[in-house]
Amino acid sequence: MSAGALPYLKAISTRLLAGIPVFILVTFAATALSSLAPGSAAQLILGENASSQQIAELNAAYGYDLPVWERYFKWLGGVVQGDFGRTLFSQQSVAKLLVDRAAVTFEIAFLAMFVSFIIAVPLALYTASHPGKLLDTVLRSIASVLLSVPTFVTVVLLAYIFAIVLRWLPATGWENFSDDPLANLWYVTLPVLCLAPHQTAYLYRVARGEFLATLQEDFVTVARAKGMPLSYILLRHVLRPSLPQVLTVLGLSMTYLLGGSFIVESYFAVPGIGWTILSAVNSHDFPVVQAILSLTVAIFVVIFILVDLGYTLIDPRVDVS
Amino acid sequence: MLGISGIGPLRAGKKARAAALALSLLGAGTALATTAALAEPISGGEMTIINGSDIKSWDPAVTNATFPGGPMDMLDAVYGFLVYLDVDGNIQGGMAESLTSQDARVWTLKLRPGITFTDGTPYDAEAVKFNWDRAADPATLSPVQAFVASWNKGIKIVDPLTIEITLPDANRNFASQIAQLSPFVASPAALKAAKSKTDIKPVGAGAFLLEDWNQGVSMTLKRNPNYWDKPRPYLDTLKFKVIPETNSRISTVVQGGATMMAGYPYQFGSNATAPGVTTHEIKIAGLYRAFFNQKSGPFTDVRAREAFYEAIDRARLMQAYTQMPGYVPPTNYFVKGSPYYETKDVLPTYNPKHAQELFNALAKDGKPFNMKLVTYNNSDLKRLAAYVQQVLSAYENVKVSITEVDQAQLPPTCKEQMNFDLCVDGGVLVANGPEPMVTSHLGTGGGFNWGQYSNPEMDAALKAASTTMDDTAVNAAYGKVQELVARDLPLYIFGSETRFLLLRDDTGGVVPSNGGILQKQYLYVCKGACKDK
Repeated sequence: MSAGALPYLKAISTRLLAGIPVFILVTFAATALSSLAPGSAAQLILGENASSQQIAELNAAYGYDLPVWERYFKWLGGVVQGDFGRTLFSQQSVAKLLVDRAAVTFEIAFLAMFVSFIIAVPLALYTASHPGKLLDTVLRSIASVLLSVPTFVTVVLLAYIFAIVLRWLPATGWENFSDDPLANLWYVTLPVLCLAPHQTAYLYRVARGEFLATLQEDFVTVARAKGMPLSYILLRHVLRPSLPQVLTVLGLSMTYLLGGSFIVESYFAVPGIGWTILSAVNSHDFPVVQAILSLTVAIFVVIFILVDLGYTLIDPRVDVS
Repeated sequence: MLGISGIGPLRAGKKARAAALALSLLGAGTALATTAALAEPISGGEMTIINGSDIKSWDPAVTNATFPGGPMDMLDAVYGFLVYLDVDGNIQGGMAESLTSQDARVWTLKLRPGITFTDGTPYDAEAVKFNWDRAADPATLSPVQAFVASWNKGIKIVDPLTIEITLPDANRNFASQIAQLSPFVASPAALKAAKSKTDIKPVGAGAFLLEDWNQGVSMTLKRNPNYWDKPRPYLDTLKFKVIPETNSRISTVVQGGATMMAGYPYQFGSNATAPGVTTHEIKIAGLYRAFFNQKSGPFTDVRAREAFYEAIDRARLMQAYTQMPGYVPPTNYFVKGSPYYETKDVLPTYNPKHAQELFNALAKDGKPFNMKLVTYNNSDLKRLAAYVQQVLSAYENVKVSITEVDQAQLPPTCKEQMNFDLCVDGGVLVANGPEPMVTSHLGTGGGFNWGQYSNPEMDAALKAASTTMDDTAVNAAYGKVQELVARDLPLYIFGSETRFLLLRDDTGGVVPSNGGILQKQYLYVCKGACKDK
């Protein structure tokens, strides 16, 4: 192993270790909160005519009458061995369910992020280099409007336009990319369109601000004085030094996209982790809730590690440690 | 042999009653007659039914919710109803040929010859007895355990296709109760093989076989090639799709992404007239009801119950609840069109002046009208609760508080803890046949008697209605029930309701049963819009 890789490994290890307490806190809190949630899985299974005794018996059969700490350590013991348990009702492997559902959510989130990036960054670059012009003013206004519109409004509005009025896109449903790539594209478009506007506006505003600041730097003034073409200056001298900040926003935007996926997936009946955790909470399917929370913590830790590492790759002046 | 049917309140007059009796005598043949009037069915194709939630288990003993989209709707596709109630409240043969009795005490279940479960084991008397005995076993934790345990000791297997059930007491509604409470039979081999409820594999002899189940997302069922009633089922594939959001369900049907969904016209709005879409009304003679706490609080005094009826215009309450105008509040417990409907014994009508007098009298007697309305956090119910609070706040000596709980928490809060004065679950008392719902709501200890109303006179009337074979005596007994309801006001009956489907106009073979669940073997896809559904 080269000596140059050691700081990276150390940085990754430190951040992963820092993630462990977060993981334990979040998952233990979920176990504790599950005890406080009204109703029970047994009630849902047995129906509203079930007596308290029947519900208690079924809860005992599932181990839901155990103390919180006992249930948590039982679950944690399984996780350490790679066993997230089985879903409460259909008895599927939770790990497999998680992989299937996470793939759907990540596809939507990454596509939304990609769409946002390819729209926001070029526009931000252009308007930052032409501040105060009409296009700059118009885009800033549009960005403000888009930022103020919550996802649930975007979802209803775009679904009405594209699914009901124009009938161009399906109102609900999903097809996996591996099963039918074209159908997958057909189903993923509307969810992505719903998540992308807010993201694009946010990214545009941040990127524009960063580009504007960089454009004030001396080295950009020198490049201009040398008579370099604007496009070269923007790509070579403005984009690259501004990218760490844009990357940070992209990393953080994953958190927004995952949150937004709860609404989008629920509305469009897309079987991702957002919809899965909503239905799991409703049906008290705690093995699934725990597994998704674990995954979410893991995702956030990984995202922040990647963002930190990305800084140093883009700008070697940043110390990885 | 006299066919004993669930006596439907929708039947009118002796002719209709005689016709219904004749139909029940025909057993399975009547089911065929129902569909004979439909357009010519076409084999093949697929349909997708959208539900708001998925089932939790394939346990045939753990069933509830006889509404379209409820758990029984999905279980029916795989298991099929032994017998079912048609839209007129008559018992029809399903997986069984007939369930009949001469004296309402000894019942004979005749099974169809040659039916096997999809695992190859016979669908016979032993299998039916195994399922019922299992439901009666407290270890199964079946919600209908008490009902089945009250008669399963009287099961006698006469031959592989005949079961004789001797009930402890005569019960003319037994077939109706079986249809609604314990209608499914699964392969005993599959039930024995399961380690837990959730481990039960759906092995039935119904119209469809489970091919794929992505729990909480969708379910795909294929035609059962060995289904007893060939050429049914007509569909090659039946899918259930879970879409929790109502607007998304509607959009999907309108767009053609699914075949049908259950809902109400106020939810459909202008989508009901969209191209390629139609609606289908399922008449269920349902009553919206809420429960008065009869054990503690203001409603222990019948004057408070009367005042509550008189203080609120129920038509406007329903308008607030459903956001649709034009409701006419039910005047009686048995609605117009029911053979038990009587013009007398009406429920109190809107009379704010008298309501105020009653509130004042209660306050004077040291019984101030301070009520706690308990419901769950559903937008429709929130509107209803807010409307009640708003209207009653205009009266003197009245205080109303609202408590919203989680939906799953409502039965424990109301039924078990009785922590309410008025409990509104948004449910509809389905009255295709009076039983088992009437006893469940009004009989002492009834499963839906959440307010714990108890009146020996009512119990006697309900028993008399169930144990006699004489139609005149039944009418008299239910007349007494209606009289007592009008006098005691055990329930707050605030609206009548029926059910609707929003469906693609090429959907044929819509044969509802048990208050709305479609008999899926009859469904077919028309070429173009169906002329007759």
